[in-house]
Amino acid sequence: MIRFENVGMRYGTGPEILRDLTFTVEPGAFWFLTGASGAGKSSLLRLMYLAHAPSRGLINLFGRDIATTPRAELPGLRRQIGVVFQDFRLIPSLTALQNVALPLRIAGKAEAETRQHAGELLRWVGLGPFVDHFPPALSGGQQQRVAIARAVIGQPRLLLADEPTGNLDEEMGNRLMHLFLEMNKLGTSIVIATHNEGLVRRHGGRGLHLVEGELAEIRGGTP
Amino acid sequence: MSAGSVLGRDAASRTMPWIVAVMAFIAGLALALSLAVEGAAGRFAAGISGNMTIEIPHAELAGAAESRANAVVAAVARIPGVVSATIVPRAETAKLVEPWLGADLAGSGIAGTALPIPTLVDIRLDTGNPPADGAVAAAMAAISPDIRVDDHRIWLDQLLGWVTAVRLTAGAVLICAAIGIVLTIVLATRAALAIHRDVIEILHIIGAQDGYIARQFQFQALRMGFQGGVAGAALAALLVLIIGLAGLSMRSGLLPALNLGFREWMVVATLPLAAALIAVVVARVVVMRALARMM
Repeated sequence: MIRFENVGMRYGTGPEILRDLTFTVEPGAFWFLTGASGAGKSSLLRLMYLAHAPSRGLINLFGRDIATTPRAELPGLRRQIGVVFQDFRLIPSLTALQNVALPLRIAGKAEAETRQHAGELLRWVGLGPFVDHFPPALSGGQQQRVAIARAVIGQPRLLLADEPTGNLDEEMGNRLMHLFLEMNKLGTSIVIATHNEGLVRRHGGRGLHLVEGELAEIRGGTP
Repeated sequence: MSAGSVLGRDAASRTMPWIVAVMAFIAGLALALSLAVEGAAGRFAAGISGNMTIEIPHAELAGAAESRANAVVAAVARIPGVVSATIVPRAETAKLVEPWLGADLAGSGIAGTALPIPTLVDIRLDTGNPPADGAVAAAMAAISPDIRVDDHRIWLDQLLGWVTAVRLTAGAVLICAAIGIVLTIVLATRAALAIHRDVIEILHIIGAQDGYIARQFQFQALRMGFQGGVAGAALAALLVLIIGLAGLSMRSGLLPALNLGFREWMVVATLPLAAALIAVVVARVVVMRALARMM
């Protein structure tokens, strides 16, 4: 699914903030990405969802070497990845429904299917009455749920989430994790970056632990 | 559910139509005035190119001028390509100098003495089969070397030169306005790229092709270019209409009417489309180049 070999990453001409990362996330994995603030969790996720190129090393995603994949083919790979951002990153000029529907619309799905699917997902996350609300009119928790709905609507092969439960109450957090587990059972690989050690322990504790940009531990995975 | 505007409005998108409108106004004014001048000059030239004027110097002896004029008319009438030759009545000739000399002086002269106004013979030519070059001048030289033939060539050449200068100036103004629109769109699109950087990254991450992202900016540029183009062209058209009406009220008979025909108005009406097209193309180029630098 994902294979990193001696990967390093830097922003611009700055110092390397990720160094010598080598690991493999197998298909169907349910992993956590842990580490202190500034350890490089979000940057590692950026490499995984192809928002940033590595400064060195090899990244293989869905069997494709990213370095040699033509740029025009990267959007096709990105459509197989769902991302939940810590800061939601919703598009403020679009309603909740339009935000959720956007991945399907970009993928060229039929309008009726897109509308129905987006509406169902929003109702599932408890935002049925808010489909026509714009993100600035929603609370942090509501925006988080819209972001989650947007990430999963395309039924991605790989779901990456950065502190997905951080803005949710306990009940909604449990529902979200239940959704992730169900998606995982259906074959979606999940990688969740979190500070929440309790969450990690409750769900098997497999994954990566970063310390200052380096891989300190691989719990239950393939090195 | 509408697709919604992914980019939304920003400061650049609010300001740009006004700048495009100014450019389109300048372009529209230059274009409309150039077309109006060209049309007026064309009509004026068509009006005089089928004519010649023969100028017979004033003769002191009574009746001498009249007999020379008759001889001229008879000689000219024999030249193939001449449709008619008419002696211009003295009263009409006097009227031509009336604006400069006044009615009394031009008409009867001082103390009843007529001014030495030349006798004019107006010749109408067959424009499809005009006389051979120099035929009229040769016939007049045979009668008297001091008879002048005015085929308006100098005036027409000067008019043509002036129209060419106006067209070149208008073309230069149009090019400057187009460059202004291009630069405006470049700056506005770059500003929009910076403003919407997060949105662009999100679109990328969820799998949008560069073309999809560029189209969002193109739609925005199309709207702003067209809005600005319509406003500027409409204002230019209004001003040209006012100038035309003002010209009608002060026409002296020497100046042709400065107005536009249907074809010319249609050309001016294409300005908003041209502005929108420029905006779309420039926005696409700027965005695609910027996106190519992203992963």
